[in-house]
Amino acid sequence: MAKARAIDTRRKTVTNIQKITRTMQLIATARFQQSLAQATASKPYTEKISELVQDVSSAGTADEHPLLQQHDACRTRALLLLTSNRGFCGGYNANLLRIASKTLSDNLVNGFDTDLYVVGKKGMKYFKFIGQDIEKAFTELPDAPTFAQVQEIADDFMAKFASDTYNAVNVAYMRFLSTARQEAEVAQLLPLQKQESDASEEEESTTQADVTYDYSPDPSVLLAELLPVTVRIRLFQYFNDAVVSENVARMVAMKSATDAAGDMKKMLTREFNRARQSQITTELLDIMGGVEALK
Amino acid sequence: MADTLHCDVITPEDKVLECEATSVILPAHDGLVGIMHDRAPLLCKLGYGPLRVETSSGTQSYFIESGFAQMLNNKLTILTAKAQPIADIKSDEARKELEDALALPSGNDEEVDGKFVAVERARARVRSVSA
Repeated sequence: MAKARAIDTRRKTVTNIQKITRTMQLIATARFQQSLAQATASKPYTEKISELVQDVSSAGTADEHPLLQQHDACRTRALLLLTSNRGFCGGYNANLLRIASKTLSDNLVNGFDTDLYVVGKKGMKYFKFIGQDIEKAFTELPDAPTFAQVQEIADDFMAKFASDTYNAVNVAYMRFLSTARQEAEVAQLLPLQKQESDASEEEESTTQADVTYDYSPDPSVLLAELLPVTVRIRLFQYFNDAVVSENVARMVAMKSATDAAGDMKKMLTREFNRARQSQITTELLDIMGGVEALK
Repeated sequence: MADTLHCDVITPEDKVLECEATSVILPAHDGLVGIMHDRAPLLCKLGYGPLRVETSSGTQSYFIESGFAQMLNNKLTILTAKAQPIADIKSDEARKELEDALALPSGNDEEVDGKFVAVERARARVRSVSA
Protein backbone atom coordinates (compact mmCIF):
# COMPACT_ATOMS: atom_id res chain seq x y z
CA MET A 1 0.00 0.00 0.00
CA ALA A 2 3.04 2.24 0.58
CA LYS A 3 3.46 3.15 -3.11
CA ALA A 4 -0.22 3.93 -3.66
CA ARG A 5 -0.30 6.14 -0.54
CA ALA A 6 2.81 8.05 -1.70
CA ILE A 7 1.20 8.68 -5.08
CA ASP A 8 -1.98 9.85 -3.39
CA THR A 9 -0.02 12.35 -1.26
CA ARG A 10 1.64 13.70 -4.40
CA ARG A 11 -1.75 13.99 -6.10
CA LYS A 12 -3.10 16.02 -3.19
CA THR A 13 -0.07 18.34 -3.32
CA VAL A 14 -0.55 18.88 -7.04
CA THR A 15 -4.26 19.64 -6.45
CA ASN A 16 -3.33 22.28 -3.87
CA ILE A 17 -0.75 23.85 -6.18
CA GLN A 18 -3.33 23.90 -8.96
CA LYS A 19 -5.74 25.79 -6.70
CA ILE A 20 -3.06 28.38 -5.95
CA THR A 21 -2.05 28.86 -9.60
CA ARG A 22 -5.69 29.14 -10.65
CA THR A 23 -6.27 31.87 -8.06
CA MET A 24 -3.12 33.66 -9.22
CA GLN A 25 -4.36 33.43 -12.79
CA LEU A 26 -7.68 35.01 -11.80
CA ILE A 27 -5.90 37.81 -9.93
CA ALA A 28 -3.61 38.44 -12.92
CA THR A 29 -6.66 38.56 -15.23
CA ALA A 30 -8.37 41.16 -13.02
CA ARG A 31 -5.16 43.22 -12.78
CA PHE A 32 -4.62 42.94 -16.52
CA GLN A 33 -8.06 44.36 -17.26
CA GLN A 34 -7.45 47.18 -14.80
CA SER A 35 -4.03 48.05 -16.24
CA LEU A 36 -5.31 47.80 -19.80
CA ALA A 37 -8.07 50.28 -18.96
CA GLN A 38 -5.45 52.64 -17.51
CA ALA A 39 -3.20 52.29 -20.54
CA THR A 40 -6.15 52.95 -22.87
CA ALA A 41 -7.20 55.98 -20.80
CA SER A 42 -3.80 57.62 -21.39
CA LYS A 43 -4.09 57.26 -25.19
CA PRO A 44 -6.24 60.38 -25.90
CA TYR A 45 -3.76 62.59 -24.03
CA THR A 46 -0.80 61.14 -25.94
CA GLU A 47 -2.51 61.48 -29.30
CA LYS A 48 -3.57 65.07 -28.65
CA ILE A 49 -0.10 66.11 -27.45
CA SER A 50 1.45 64.66 -30.65
CA GLU A 51 -1.16 66.54 -32.69
CA LEU A 52 -0.36 69.80 -30.91
CA VAL A 53 3.40 69.29 -31.42
CA GLN A 54 2.75 68.79 -35.15
CA ASP A 55 0.55 71.89 -35.31
CA VAL A 56 3.06 74.05 -33.49
CA SER A 57 6.01 72.67 -35.47
CA SER A 58 4.19 73.52 -38.71
CA ALA A 59 4.04 77.15 -37.54
CA GLY A 60 7.71 77.30 -38.55
CA THR A 61 9.53 77.03 -35.26
CA ALA A 62 13.17 76.03 -35.41
CA ASP A 63 14.34 72.71 -33.97
CA GLU A 64 16.68 74.28 -31.47
CA HIS A 65 15.20 72.89 -28.32
CA PRO A 66 17.76 71.20 -25.99
CA LEU A 67 15.75 67.95 -26.02
CA LEU A 68 16.12 67.65 -29.82
CA GLN A 69 19.90 68.26 -29.89
CA GLN A 70 22.35 65.44 -30.66
CA HIS A 71 25.14 65.25 -28.09
CA ASP A 72 27.85 63.60 -30.19
CA ALA A 73 30.73 64.60 -27.92
CA CYS A 74 29.23 62.90 -24.88
CA ARG A 75 30.17 59.21 -24.56
CA THR A 76 27.76 58.09 -21.85
CA ARG A 77 24.27 56.74 -22.41
CA ALA A 78 21.53 56.04 -19.91
CA LEU A 79 19.46 52.88 -19.99
CA LEU A 80 16.28 52.63 -17.97
CA LEU A 81 15.14 49.04 -17.56
CA LEU A 82 11.57 48.29 -16.52
CA THR A 83 11.29 44.87 -14.87
CA SER A 84 8.74 43.46 -12.45
CA ASN A 85 8.89 43.27 -8.67
CA ARG A 86 7.58 39.72 -8.50
CA GLY A 87 8.22 36.49 -10.38
CA PHE A 88 5.79 33.85 -11.64
CA CYS A 89 5.45 35.64 -14.96
CA GLY A 90 7.14 33.24 -17.36
CA GLY A 91 9.89 34.63 -19.57
CA TYR A 92 8.91 38.27 -18.97
CA ASN A 93 11.96 39.29 -16.92
CA ALA A 94 14.37 36.94 -18.69
CA ASN A 95 13.56 38.53 -22.06
CA LEU A 96 14.01 42.04 -20.67
CA LEU A 97 17.29 41.20 -18.96
CA ARG A 98 18.57 39.62 -22.19
CA ILE A 99 17.77 42.72 -24.26
CA ALA A 100 19.21 45.02 -21.57
CA SER A 101 22.45 43.03 -21.38
CA LYS A 102 22.68 43.12 -25.18
CA THR A 103 22.23 46.91 -25.16
CA LEU A 104 24.96 47.25 -22.52
CA SER A 105 27.42 45.22 -24.61
CA ASP A 106 26.41 47.00 -27.85
CA ASN A 107 27.04 50.36 -26.19
CA LEU A 108 30.45 49.13 -25.04
CA VAL A 109 31.34 47.98 -28.58
CA ASN A 110 30.31 51.40 -29.94
CA GLY A 111 32.47 53.14 -27.34
CA PHE A 112 29.77 54.31 -24.95
CA ASP A 113 29.62 53.91 -21.20
CA THR A 114 26.16 53.05 -19.87
CA ASP A 115 24.54 54.31 -16.70
CA LEU A 116 21.97 51.72 -15.76
CA TYR A 117 18.71 52.70 -14.08
CA VAL A 118 16.51 49.83 -12.95
CA VAL A 119 12.85 49.63 -11.99
CA GLY A 120 11.72 46.38 -10.34
CA LYS A 121 13.34 43.99 -7.87
CA LYS A 122 13.98 41.28 -10.48
CA GLY A 123 16.26 43.49 -12.57
CA MET A 124 18.03 44.82 -9.50
CA LYS A 125 18.76 41.33 -8.16
CA TYR A 126 20.05 40.13 -11.52
CA PHE A 127 22.50 42.97 -12.05
CA LYS A 128 23.67 42.79 -8.45
CA PHE A 129 24.26 39.06 -9.00
CA ILE A 130 26.36 39.51 -12.16
CA GLY A 131 28.23 42.42 -10.54
CA GLN A 132 27.06 45.15 -12.90
CA ASP A 133 26.96 48.64 -11.36
CA ILE A 134 23.52 50.18 -11.11
CA GLU A 135 23.40 53.99 -11.27
CA LYS A 136 20.03 54.13 -9.55
CA ALA A 137 17.34 51.62 -8.61
CA PHE A 138 13.79 52.87 -8.21
CA THR A 139 12.71 50.69 -5.32
CA GLU A 140 9.95 52.91 -3.98
CA LEU A 141 7.76 52.69 -7.12
CA PRO A 142 4.50 50.72 -6.85
CA ASP A 143 3.53 48.04 -9.39
CA ALA A 144 1.53 50.58 -11.41
CA PRO A 145 3.16 54.03 -11.03
CA THR A 146 1.11 57.21 -11.32
CA PHE A 147 1.82 59.98 -13.81
CA ALA A 148 3.27 62.21 -11.06
CA GLN A 149 5.82 59.51 -10.15
CA VAL A 150 6.80 58.92 -13.77
CA GLN A 151 7.03 62.68 -14.32
CA GLU A 152 9.70 62.94 -11.61
CA ILE A 153 11.83 60.30 -13.33
CA ALA A 154 11.34 61.92 -16.76
CA ASP A 155 12.24 65.38 -15.40
CA ASP A 156 15.41 63.99 -13.87
CA PHE A 157 16.45 62.43 -17.21
CA MET A 158 15.62 65.60 -19.13
CA ALA A 159 17.72 67.73 -16.74
CA LYS A 160 20.66 65.32 -17.07
CA PHE A 161 20.31 65.15 -20.86
CA ALA A 162 20.08 68.93 -21.21
CA SER A 163 23.18 69.37 -19.04
CA ASP A 164 25.12 67.15 -21.50
CA THR A 165 25.55 64.25 -19.06
CA TYR A 166 24.13 61.75 -21.53
CA ASN A 167 24.44 61.13 -25.26
CA ALA A 168 21.04 59.42 -25.25
CA VAL A 169 18.46 58.04 -22.85
CA ASN A 170 16.99 54.64 -23.78
CA VAL A 171 14.25 52.63 -22.16
CA ALA A 172 14.12 48.82 -22.21
CA TYR A 173 10.56 47.68 -21.64
CA MET A 174 8.03 45.08 -22.75
CA ARG A 175 5.90 46.59 -25.48
CA PHE A 176 2.29 45.48 -25.43
CA LEU A 177 1.09 44.70 -28.96
CA SER A 178 -1.89 42.47 -28.15
CA THR A 179 -2.90 39.96 -25.51
CA ALA A 180 -1.16 37.31 -27.60
CA ARG A 181 1.98 39.32 -28.38
CA GLN A 182 4.41 41.38 -26.35
CA GLU A 183 7.92 42.32 -27.40
CA ALA A 184 10.96 43.33 -25.37
CA GLU A 185 12.06 46.60 -26.94
CA VAL A 186 14.68 49.30 -26.41
CA ALA A 187 13.13 52.68 -27.21
CA GLN A 188 14.93 56.00 -27.46
CA LEU A 189 13.45 58.54 -25.08
CA LEU A 190 16.02 61.29 -25.63
CA PRO A 191 16.97 63.01 -27.89
CA LEU A 192 13.37 63.22 -28.99
CA GLN A 193 12.61 61.69 -32.34
CA LYS A 194 9.62 62.55 -34.42
CA GLN A 195 7.01 59.80 -34.22
CA GLU A 196 6.54 57.76 -37.36
CA SER A 197 3.20 58.73 -38.85
CA ASP A 198 1.29 56.71 -41.41
CA ALA A 199 -0.34 58.09 -44.53
CA SER A 200 -3.70 58.89 -42.97
CA GLU A 201 -2.06 60.88 -40.17
CA GLU A 202 -0.03 62.83 -42.67
CA GLU A 203 -3.17 63.76 -44.55
CA GLU A 204 -4.78 64.90 -41.35
CA SER A 205 -1.77 66.98 -40.40
CA THR A 206 -1.69 68.74 -43.77
CA THR A 207 -5.31 69.75 -43.40
CA GLN A 208 -4.67 70.90 -39.85
CA ALA A 209 -1.56 72.80 -40.86
CA ASP A 210 -3.80 75.13 -42.89
CA VAL A 211 -5.46 76.34 -39.70
CA THR A 212 -4.16 79.63 -38.39
CA TYR A 213 -4.17 79.54 -34.63
CA ASP A 214 -4.05 82.34 -32.11
CA TYR A 215 -0.94 81.25 -30.25
CA SER A 216 -0.44 82.25 -26.68
CA PRO A 217 2.49 82.47 -25.95
CA ASP A 218 4.55 82.36 -29.21
CA PRO A 219 4.79 79.01 -31.06
CA SER A 220 8.48 78.65 -30.15
CA VAL A 221 7.70 79.09 -26.43
CA LEU A 222 4.74 76.72 -26.74
CA LEU A 223 6.92 74.09 -28.42
CA ALA A 224 9.49 74.43 -25.67
CA GLU A 225 6.70 73.70 -23.17
CA LEU A 226 5.18 70.88 -25.23
CA LEU A 227 8.35 68.83 -25.77
CA PRO A 228 8.99 68.03 -22.07
CA VAL A 229 5.33 66.99 -21.79
CA THR A 230 5.85 64.68 -24.78
CA VAL A 231 8.83 63.05 -23.06
CA ARG A 232 6.86 62.60 -19.82
CA ILE A 233 3.82 61.08 -21.52
CA ARG A 234 5.99 58.76 -23.65
CA LEU A 235 7.75 57.47 -20.55
CA PHE A 236 4.37 57.08 -18.85
CA GLN A 237 3.23 55.00 -21.81
CA TYR A 238 6.30 52.77 -21.56
CA PHE A 239 5.49 52.21 -17.89
CA ASN A 240 1.85 51.45 -18.74
CA ASP A 241 2.87 49.00 -21.47
CA ALA A 242 5.25 47.30 -19.06
CA VAL A 243 2.53 46.87 -16.44
CA VAL A 244 0.00 45.49 -18.94
CA SER A 245 2.58 43.10 -20.45
CA GLU A 246 3.64 41.90 -16.99
CA ASN A 247 0.05 41.05 -16.12
CA VAL A 248 -0.50 39.28 -19.45
CA ALA A 249 2.72 37.30 -18.92
CA ARG A 250 1.64 36.32 -15.40
CA MET A 251 -1.82 35.38 -16.65
CA VAL A 252 -0.38 33.13 -19.39
CA ALA A 253 2.24 31.60 -17.07
CA MET A 254 -0.35 30.81 -14.42
CA LYS A 255 -2.74 29.38 -17.00
CA SER A 256 -0.10 26.97 -18.30
CA ALA A 257 0.86 26.10 -14.72
CA THR A 258 -2.79 25.30 -13.94
CA ASP A 259 -3.08 23.22 -17.13
CA ALA A 260 0.17 21.38 -16.39
CA ALA A 261 -1.03 20.65 -12.85
CA GLY A 262 -4.28 19.26 -14.32
CA ASP A 263 -2.31 16.95 -16.64
CA MET A 264 -0.08 15.83 -13.80
CA LYS A 265 -3.12 15.13 -11.63
CA LYS A 266 -4.61 12.92 -14.37
CA MET A 267 -1.35 11.02 -14.74
CA LEU A 268 -0.99 10.55 -10.97
CA THR A 269 -4.58 9.32 -10.69
CA ARG A 270 -3.86 6.75 -13.38
CA GLU A 271 -0.67 5.63 -11.61
CA PHE A 272 -2.48 5.52 -8.27
CA ASN A 273 -5.27 3.32 -9.68
CA ARG A 274 -2.74 1.02 -11.25
CA ALA A 275 -0.75 0.73 -7.99
CA ARG A 276 -3.95 0.11 -6.03
CA GLN A 277 -5.06 -2.53 -8.51
CA SER A 278 -1.74 -4.38 -8.40
CA GLN A 279 -1.80 -4.21 -4.60
CA ILE A 280 -5.27 -5.84 -4.56
CA THR A 281 -4.12 -8.48 -7.06
CA THR A 282 -1.11 -9.31 -4.89
CA GLU A 283 -3.29 -9.56 -1.77
CA LEU A 284 -5.79 -11.80 -3.59
CA LEU A 285 -2.96 -14.05 -4.81
CA ASP A 286 -1.65 -14.24 -1.25
CA ILE A 287 -5.08 -15.32 0.02
CA MET A 288 -5.43 -17.87 -2.81
CA GLY A 289 -1.97 -19.18 -2.01
CA GLY A 290 -2.94 -19.49 1.68
CA VAL A 291 -6.14 -21.37 0.82
CA GLU A 292 -4.23 -23.76 -1.48
CA ALA A 293 -1.68 -24.42 1.28
CA LEU A 294 -4.44 -25.30 3.79
CA LYS A 295 -5.94 -27.94 1.47
CA MET B 1 -27.31 71.79 -30.78
CA ALA B 2 -27.09 75.48 -31.45
CA ASP B 3 -24.47 77.76 -29.91
CA THR B 4 -22.58 75.16 -27.96
CA LEU B 5 -19.06 73.85 -28.17
CA HIS B 6 -17.73 70.40 -27.43
CA CYS B 7 -15.46 70.41 -24.39
CA ASP B 8 -12.99 67.66 -23.41
CA VAL B 9 -10.82 67.75 -20.31
CA ILE B 10 -8.10 65.13 -20.56
CA THR B 11 -5.40 64.16 -18.07
CA PRO B 12 -2.70 61.52 -18.68
CA GLU B 13 -4.62 59.11 -16.48
CA ASP B 14 -8.20 59.71 -17.55
CA LYS B 15 -10.73 61.67 -19.56
CA VAL B 16 -12.17 63.84 -16.79
CA LEU B 17 -14.94 65.59 -18.67
CA GLU B 18 -16.64 65.34 -22.05
CA CYS B 19 -19.68 67.55 -22.62
CA GLU B 20 -21.43 70.15 -24.73
CA ALA B 21 -20.77 73.54 -23.14
CA THR B 22 -22.35 76.93 -23.70
CA SER B 23 -19.21 78.70 -22.49
CA VAL B 24 -15.90 77.88 -20.85
CA ILE B 25 -13.60 80.02 -18.73
CA LEU B 26 -10.08 78.66 -18.60
CA PRO B 27 -6.96 79.79 -16.74
CA ALA B 28 -4.42 80.61 -19.44
CA HIS B 29 -0.81 81.30 -18.42
CA ASP B 30 -1.45 85.06 -18.46
CA GLY B 31 -4.99 85.29 -17.10
CA LEU B 32 -8.49 83.91 -17.55
CA VAL B 33 -9.81 83.34 -21.08
CA GLY B 34 -13.50 83.03 -21.91
CA ILE B 35 -14.47 80.79 -24.82
CA MET B 36 -17.82 80.56 -26.57
CA HIS B 37 -19.32 79.00 -29.69
CA ASP B 38 -17.47 79.81 -32.97
CA ARG B 39 -14.32 81.16 -31.37
CA ALA B 40 -11.36 81.41 -33.73
CA PRO B 41 -8.76 78.60 -33.47
CA LEU B 42 -6.67 79.01 -30.34
CA LEU B 43 -3.71 77.18 -28.90
CA CYS B 44 -2.60 78.37 -25.50
CA LYS B 45 -0.59 77.37 -22.50
CA LEU B 46 -2.47 77.02 -19.25
CA GLY B 47 -1.51 78.13 -15.78
CA TYR B 48 -2.84 77.21 -12.35
CA GLY B 49 -6.43 78.11 -11.67
CA PRO B 50 -10.11 77.32 -11.89
CA LEU B 51 -11.69 75.97 -15.07
CA ARG B 52 -15.42 76.70 -15.30
CA VAL B 53 -17.54 74.89 -17.85
CA GLU B 54 -21.10 76.18 -18.31
CA THR B 55 -23.46 73.55 -19.61
CA SER B 56 -27.23 73.53 -20.02
CA SER B 57 -27.44 71.50 -16.80
CA GLY B 58 -25.23 73.81 -14.70
CA THR B 59 -21.63 74.79 -14.08
CA GLN B 60 -18.79 72.34 -13.56
CA SER B 61 -15.63 73.65 -11.92
CA TYR B 62 -12.19 72.07 -11.76
CA PHE B 63 -8.86 73.26 -10.47
CA ILE B 64 -6.30 72.59 -13.17
CA GLU B 65 -2.54 72.60 -12.96
CA SER B 66 -0.79 73.79 -16.13
CA GLY B 67 -1.22 72.17 -19.53
CA PHE B 68 -2.54 73.26 -22.91
CA ALA B 69 -5.85 74.23 -24.48
CA GLN B 70 -6.78 73.86 -28.12
CA MET B 71 -9.91 75.36 -29.66
CA LEU B 72 -10.62 74.18 -33.18
CA ASN B 73 -13.90 73.84 -35.11
CA ASN B 74 -16.04 74.33 -32.00
CA LYS B 75 -14.11 71.64 -30.16
CA LEU B 76 -12.20 72.70 -27.08
CA THR B 77 -9.62 70.24 -25.76
CA ILE B 78 -7.96 70.90 -22.45
CA LEU B 79 -4.87 68.83 -21.69
CA THR B 80 -3.70 69.13 -18.13
CA ALA B 81 -1.52 67.15 -15.73
CA LYS B 82 -4.19 67.26 -13.02
CA ALA B 83 -7.87 68.29 -12.85
CA GLN B 84 -9.53 68.22 -9.45
CA PRO B 85 -13.19 69.18 -8.88
CA ILE B 86 -13.17 72.42 -6.89
CA ALA B 87 -15.79 70.98 -4.52
CA ASP B 88 -13.13 68.46 -3.41
CA ILE B 89 -10.68 71.16 -2.27
CA LYS B 90 -11.07 72.11 1.38
CA SER B 91 -10.61 75.77 2.22
CA ASP B 92 -8.49 75.25 5.37
CA GLU B 93 -6.27 72.69 3.58
CA ALA B 94 -5.68 75.16 0.75
CA ARG B 95 -4.71 77.88 3.23
CA LYS B 96 -2.38 75.48 5.02
CA GLU B 97 -0.74 74.63 1.66
CA LEU B 98 -0.21 78.36 1.04
CA GLU B 99 1.39 78.81 4.47
CA ASP B 100 3.66 75.81 3.79
CA ALA B 101 4.58 77.20 0.36
CA LEU B 102 5.41 80.61 1.85
CA ALA B 103 7.62 78.92 4.45
CA LEU B 104 9.73 77.16 1.78
CA PRO B 105 13.43 78.13 1.73
CA SER B 106 14.66 80.53 -0.97
CA GLY B 107 18.44 80.34 -0.58
CA ASN B 108 19.51 79.76 -4.20
CA ASP B 109 18.00 80.27 -7.68
CA GLU B 110 16.51 76.77 -7.83
CA GLU B 111 14.82 77.16 -4.47
CA VAL B 112 13.48 80.58 -5.47
CA ASP B 113 11.98 79.13 -8.66
CA GLY B 114 10.48 76.19 -6.79
CA LYS B 115 9.03 78.45 -4.12
CA PHE B 116 7.58 80.81 -6.73
CA VAL B 117 5.74 77.96 -8.48
CA ALA B 118 4.52 76.48 -5.19
CA VAL B 119 3.25 79.85 -3.94
CA GLU B 120 1.53 80.63 -7.27
CA ARG B 121 -0.17 77.25 -7.21
CA ALA B 122 -1.24 77.53 -3.58
CA ARG B 123 -2.56 81.09 -4.11
CA ALA B 124 -4.56 79.94 -7.13
CA ARG B 125 -6.06 77.10 -5.08
CA VAL B 126 -7.05 79.45 -2.25
CA ARG B 127 -8.56 81.89 -4.77
CA SER B 128 -10.58 79.21 -6.54
CA VAL B 129 -11.99 77.85 -3.27
CA SER B 130 -12.97 81.27 -1.96
CA ALA B 131 -14.44 82.41 -5.32
